[in-house]
Amino acid sequence: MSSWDIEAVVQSIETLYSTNDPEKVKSIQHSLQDLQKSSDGLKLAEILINTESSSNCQFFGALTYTVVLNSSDQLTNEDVDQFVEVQGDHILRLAHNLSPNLFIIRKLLSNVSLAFIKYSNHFDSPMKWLLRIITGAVDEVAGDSAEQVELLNTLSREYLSILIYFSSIIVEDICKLECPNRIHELVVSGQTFGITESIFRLLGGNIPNGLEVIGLDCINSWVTYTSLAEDTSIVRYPNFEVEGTNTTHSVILSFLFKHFNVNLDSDIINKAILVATEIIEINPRLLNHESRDYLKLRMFGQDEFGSMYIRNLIDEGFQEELLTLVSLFIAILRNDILHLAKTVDTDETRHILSMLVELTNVPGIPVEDEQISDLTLEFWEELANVFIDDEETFDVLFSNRSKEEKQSFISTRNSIFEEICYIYWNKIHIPSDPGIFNSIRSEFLHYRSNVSDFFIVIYSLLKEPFYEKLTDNICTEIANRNLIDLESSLFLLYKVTDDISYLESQSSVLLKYIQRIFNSGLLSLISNSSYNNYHLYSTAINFLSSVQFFFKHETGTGSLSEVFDLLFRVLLHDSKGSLSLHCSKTILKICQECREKLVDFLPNLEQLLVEMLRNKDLDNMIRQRMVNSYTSIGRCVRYEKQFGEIVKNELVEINDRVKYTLPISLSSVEDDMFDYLLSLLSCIVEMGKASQIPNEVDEFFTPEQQQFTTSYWREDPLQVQSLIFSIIKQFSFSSEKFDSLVTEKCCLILKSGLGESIPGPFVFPLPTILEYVVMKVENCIEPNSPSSPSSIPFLYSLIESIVLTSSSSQELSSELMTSLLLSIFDSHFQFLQSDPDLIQCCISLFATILEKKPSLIVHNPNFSNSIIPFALDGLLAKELFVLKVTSKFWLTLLTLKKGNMQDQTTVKNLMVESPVGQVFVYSLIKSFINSTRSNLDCYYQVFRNLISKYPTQFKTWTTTSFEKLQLEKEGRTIEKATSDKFISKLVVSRGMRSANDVLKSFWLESNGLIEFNSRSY
Amino acid sequence: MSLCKTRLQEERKLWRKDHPFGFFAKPIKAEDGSLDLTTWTAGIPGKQNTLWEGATYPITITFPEEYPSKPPKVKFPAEFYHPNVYPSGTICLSILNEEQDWRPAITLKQIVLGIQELLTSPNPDSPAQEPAWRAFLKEKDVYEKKIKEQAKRYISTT
Repeated sequence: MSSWDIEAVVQSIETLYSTNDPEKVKSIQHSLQDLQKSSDGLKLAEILINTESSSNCQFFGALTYTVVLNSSDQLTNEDVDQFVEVQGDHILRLAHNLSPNLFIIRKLLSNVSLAFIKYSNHFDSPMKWLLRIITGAVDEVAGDSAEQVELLNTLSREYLSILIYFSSIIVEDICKLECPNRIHELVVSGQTFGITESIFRLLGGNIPNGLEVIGLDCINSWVTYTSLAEDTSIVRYPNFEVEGTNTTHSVILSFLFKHFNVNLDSDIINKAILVATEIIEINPRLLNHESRDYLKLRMFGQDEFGSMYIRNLIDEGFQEELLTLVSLFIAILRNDILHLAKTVDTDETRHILSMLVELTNVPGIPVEDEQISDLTLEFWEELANVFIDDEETFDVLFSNRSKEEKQSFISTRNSIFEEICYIYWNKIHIPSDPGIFNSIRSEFLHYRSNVSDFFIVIYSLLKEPFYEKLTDNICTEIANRNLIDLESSLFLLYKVTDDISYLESQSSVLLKYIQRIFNSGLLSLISNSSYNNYHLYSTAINFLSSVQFFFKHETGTGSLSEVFDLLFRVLLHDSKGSLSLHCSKTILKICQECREKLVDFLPNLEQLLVEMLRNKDLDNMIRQRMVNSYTSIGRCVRYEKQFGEIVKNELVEINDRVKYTLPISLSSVEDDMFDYLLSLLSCIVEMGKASQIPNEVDEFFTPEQQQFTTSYWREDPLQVQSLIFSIIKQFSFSSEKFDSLVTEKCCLILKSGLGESIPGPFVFPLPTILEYVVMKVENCIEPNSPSSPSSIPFLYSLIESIVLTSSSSQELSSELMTSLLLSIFDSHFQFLQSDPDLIQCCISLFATILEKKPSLIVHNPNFSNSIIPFALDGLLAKELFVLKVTSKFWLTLLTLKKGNMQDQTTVKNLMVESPVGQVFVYSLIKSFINSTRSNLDCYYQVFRNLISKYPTQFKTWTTTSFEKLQLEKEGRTIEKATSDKFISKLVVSRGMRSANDVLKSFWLESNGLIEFNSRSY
Repeated sequence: MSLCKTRLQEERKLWRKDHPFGFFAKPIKAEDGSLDLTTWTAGIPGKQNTLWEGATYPITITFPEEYPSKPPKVKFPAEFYHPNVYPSGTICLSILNEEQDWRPAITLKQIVLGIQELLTSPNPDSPAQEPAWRAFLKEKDVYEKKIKEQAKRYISTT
């Protein structure tokens, strides 16, 4: 802006501070900023700050000074002096009417502070400067505190407040801006801290009205600042004084402590409490031992400020202030927590803790009415953890005490925690008003969860007697039919039990307590209560899930019938709700863990299962879990004829449902119906999983049973397997929609028996599985068929699983594999090459075969004709996932760890006597050079194994490859000298780890890049 | 006490003092009831208004002896369905990778929040398992169905 009109500028400023139009604001800001940064900036600032008719303009004037200062590269000392002097003149002028001008004055003070930070070499004593211009002192302000106080005493309240504001602004600005560490020393040597201290010394005598809050705010600013200064410089402020002063309480702390007076205004007290909390939390070194003790006394002493103020706040119902005070209490105690823990049996500590217990027990619903108990919870947990974590400290403590004293200490400690637990038990009762509960639901449940964590810690400390007490309470509540209390207790017991029950040594001691609860009639009480008691049911279900170790034990087996009655009743009542999902999870857990004990339940469960298979409205996850539960138990009958019937009946029911529901094509069904049908297929997946032998065959079956099982399933008199296949086929060839989802399920069914060491309903003959794979792959590739190519990776993955689990089986022969690959790979070579996902799944299968049983493919003529070219093309891929499997393929081919002599010879001949070795090395080098840095790891091992396995051919292959690359002149040209050096280095490395560095350096060089250190932290 | 143990004690304190809403994390207990600070179990709640909501996904966090110089290993249950989770359940996340963005200053809170973010925002450039990655890129409807099914499996208990 070359010329400007002050009236227009004033108008713009007024608009800027009054308009709500963001576009207008943006545009005005832009043009004003241009003006501020122009050579006229200083002139503009001067005019605006003198525009007394508009505070907005005056403020903008002060702001313009800031812009001028920030935009100036390097001012001379004279410029700085002049700048500061101008600010001072304006401050003095505006100070006559302090209140309305305060925001402008603060900005001007900030400008001076900025001048100090930027030009501290010349302008190093800003507070001294301000005191001098305010007092009009001709001479330099003395460094002596008494003289400073005398001078300050002559000032009006307004000037004092400006000084206090300035002190805050300076340290706040230092914290905000990046300042050299030297500045912290200047804060002390330039009397910025000294004059601030003198002000507090003066205020300590008699605080003029209105300066309390400004003074406390100033201390707050200094707390943050001192922490920074101590962290980044050699300056220290022990006891909030400059090092070496050593008084009982510094003047600043005395000023602060003076406000712990119940007769003062509660806003001021609250501010003082906040400042004290900041000191302890941010920089506790500001308090020396005496100051800490004093503060502790004022807060926790009998009839001292703390206890009196609590009364006032509770009587007046000042929640926020109470919370602030409790935060200070906790901050003080946390700082001294080990001492507190070691002295729990002394009167002083007992008194302090009883104050905190009382506060914890403040009436009201947590979250809704009070937040104190949430705040104290964290402290109580920390205190409890001191006893657990610092066991050695207490061993030392007790070593000097008698047995009785130790017992008394422990008993006092335990009773304190029991009292606290009782309070929290009360606090976690679900609020009776559903409106209130729903409005705070997630916060309240979070609070409950925190309380349960505390109970878990307390159990670690108090052990079995604590558990016993919780159990006693539950038994009493059952007897009194007190459902609300019961829910709270059961919730806590469930959480504690869940935390420890996975350890057998821990859970075994709990058996007798759990038994007492069941003997007290827990289940019948819950069964007879209304479903409206959602939380009681939810907690009870979780509790039952946590005590499966009890049901597994002979003491608990008798309760299973009643437990199942309850769980199934809830499940069927609330078939779509979250309660039923919890229920199904608990049922599944119990059935899997206690399956041996549940065989007698099969007839009843079968009826329920049939209902669930037919009920389309039931959640799919529940249906699947129930099938798994039922089949898991069925597996334990150990009499295959009966197990076969169980499986057959389930399958018949599923098949009927499918026939009844499935139209010609799955694609035409609605989403809900599709999900139901898919769930029926998933049920068979679950049957497959649950039919697996749960442990070693020899442990599970007697030799006779093994024999019978084998012959039974070989014969399969009920045609179970053909029924499974029939269902699979119905699904597999009828769904365009979600075909990959259907295929995945079908493959999971076929995978479920792989690896089983004895025949079973899901242990299918290999040719049958492969027949399915061939048919499905054909269908996926065939144009206009319902199957999708996205299903192919699942089918290949199924073959991979077969190779992984059956590589030692005679059934899996090279002839079988040759014929299979001819159908699913060779015939569709081009199609499979068209999609990186398909390339990846094919190469992954080949790599797995080479890894597990190379003879399955290496002697096949198509290995060199189609598999090798396919894997060579894999090296051209850009996708990391393809490169990874391709690298695995070549690495496995080179090492051939599971290959016999014949396999090794065949591969060696292939590499050396045919062009494969040369072509492979050419492709590898080309791919490596063109690779991205993040993909380099894929190549190192391949190169290294190539060097060590084919040391004599390696040099020829690489030299020829570089010559070919040179001729092709594709991409970057690599000088012969460079490639020769690279080859020599690689050969010298003999495939050792150092080859990685050689490869990396070569890659960097050939790509014109340099190494950077990514680990720069 | 080793640097690892000191740092883990500190992490435990920090977690107790301040942890994100809906998450849990605690060291497992040894046979004698003492805490094994090097192995934690934790729960990651699915973000609201996403396919992942309503469930809390369990993870185990194993801290190596070299922690915090080396990152912890974080695992979901095996076969967890997510493009950036390996079939073993190991999570592929740059802040958990020593060679990538791991820094010793990264806290447990940052780790679990990072994992929560990863659930809803998978990184398609770091596939760790085929089925979820492929579905995420090519068959969104299949992906969504599977995520919803998984959310039911890990539905949050109250």
